Amino acid sequence: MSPATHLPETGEQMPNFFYFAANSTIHAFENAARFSDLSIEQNEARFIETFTKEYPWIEDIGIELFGGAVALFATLRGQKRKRALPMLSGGVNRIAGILVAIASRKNSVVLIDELENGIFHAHHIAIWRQLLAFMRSNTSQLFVTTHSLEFIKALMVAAGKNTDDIALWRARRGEKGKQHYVQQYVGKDLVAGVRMESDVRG
Amino acid sequence: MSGDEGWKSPFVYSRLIICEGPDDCAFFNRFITVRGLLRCHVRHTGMGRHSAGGNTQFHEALRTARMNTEFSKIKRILLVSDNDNNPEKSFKNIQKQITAADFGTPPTADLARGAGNPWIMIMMIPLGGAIGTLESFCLQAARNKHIPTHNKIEHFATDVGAHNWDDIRSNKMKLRTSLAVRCERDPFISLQNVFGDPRYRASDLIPLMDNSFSPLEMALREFAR
Repeated sequence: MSPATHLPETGEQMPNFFYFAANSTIHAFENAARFSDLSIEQNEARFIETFTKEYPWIEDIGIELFGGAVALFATLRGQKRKRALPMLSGGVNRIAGILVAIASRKNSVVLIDELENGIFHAHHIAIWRQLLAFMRSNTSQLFVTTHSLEFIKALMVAAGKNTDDIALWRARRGEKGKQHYVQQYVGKDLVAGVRMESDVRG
Repeated sequence: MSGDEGWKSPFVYSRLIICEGPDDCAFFNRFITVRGLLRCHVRHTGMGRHSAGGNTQFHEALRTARMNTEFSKIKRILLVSDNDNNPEKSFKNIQKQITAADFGTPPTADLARGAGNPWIMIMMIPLGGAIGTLESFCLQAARNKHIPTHNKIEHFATDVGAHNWDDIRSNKMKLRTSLAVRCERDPFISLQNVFGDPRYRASDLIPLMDNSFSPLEMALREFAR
């Protein structure tokens, strides 16, 4: 079983809670352990199918021993040797880590700080499509922070008309800097704001 | 006036007017200035989408307004739409969009205020429930100021067989002709430029101080109160 998120302040172990920081690499062992959870349940096929569809130069994903530790390895089209996912691309490894985490647990809560970090712009819409599909099929809840209007626009394209389960929370500091405000907008507001070129980030 | 900045800039004033397109937007911005009315934001349903707008996108404009970081400053919203050929149907169309945008109960009559905060008022143009559009409204003022020209335009319409057109198209044709013959610099001038371009304002092509616009001033004063 993959490691649970440990909250040091409260001592809680939260097996269905995932947090991905903006600038930290997802540990190779965590990814491998979550993939292993999927594999044991024989549920890894969907993850691999989704992932290789977006990155067609990757043929397959599996677990291999690497320097004494397990890690996710990619089988690349036209290449004889498999490559460790973290060695391929930081963005690809990050997305693989996020998707495999979501796929590994139903009814989870997933927090991702600055999801767009390291992701090539051409993949934005597809990444959102995959995330939405994975979250919906696993009845999980995703919280994503972003500074990128481009990434929000990609979400709206990926969601299409199906925005009832999407909301924007916009956080800002009060004038004196001591108070903070969070305003919530439903998906339809977000769609309208994006269409009319309002800066929905605030 | 703070009407040409699109939807991005934060609201400053407490009043927001949303109209159908850039022509209406330029008209209201200029009218408010000329008549010395309370400053307010004037935006249109095509703004930001690089489209001419129209009367079917008020719900999106309302939702976009709500997303403005300073939306709490807005106390009153005025939606301005054309009566077109069926004033009742056009009015109901706006009512439905207020509901669709989750802005609560819409006002039940033209120029009546709705419930809620901010409250919403619908203004159908021309005022008084007549069939027509902004052009019909402007034609009356242009006609009052340039009677001989407009008498000739009426004859011209008859001579070329355009006198049997429906009222909306006929009024558009007459206003277009009036502007063309009185604006040598740009006979194809748009209403947006008539009101928005300083080079044409002095020509008073459509006199905004004309008495035919007085009911509009009264309605806007009520809105601003």
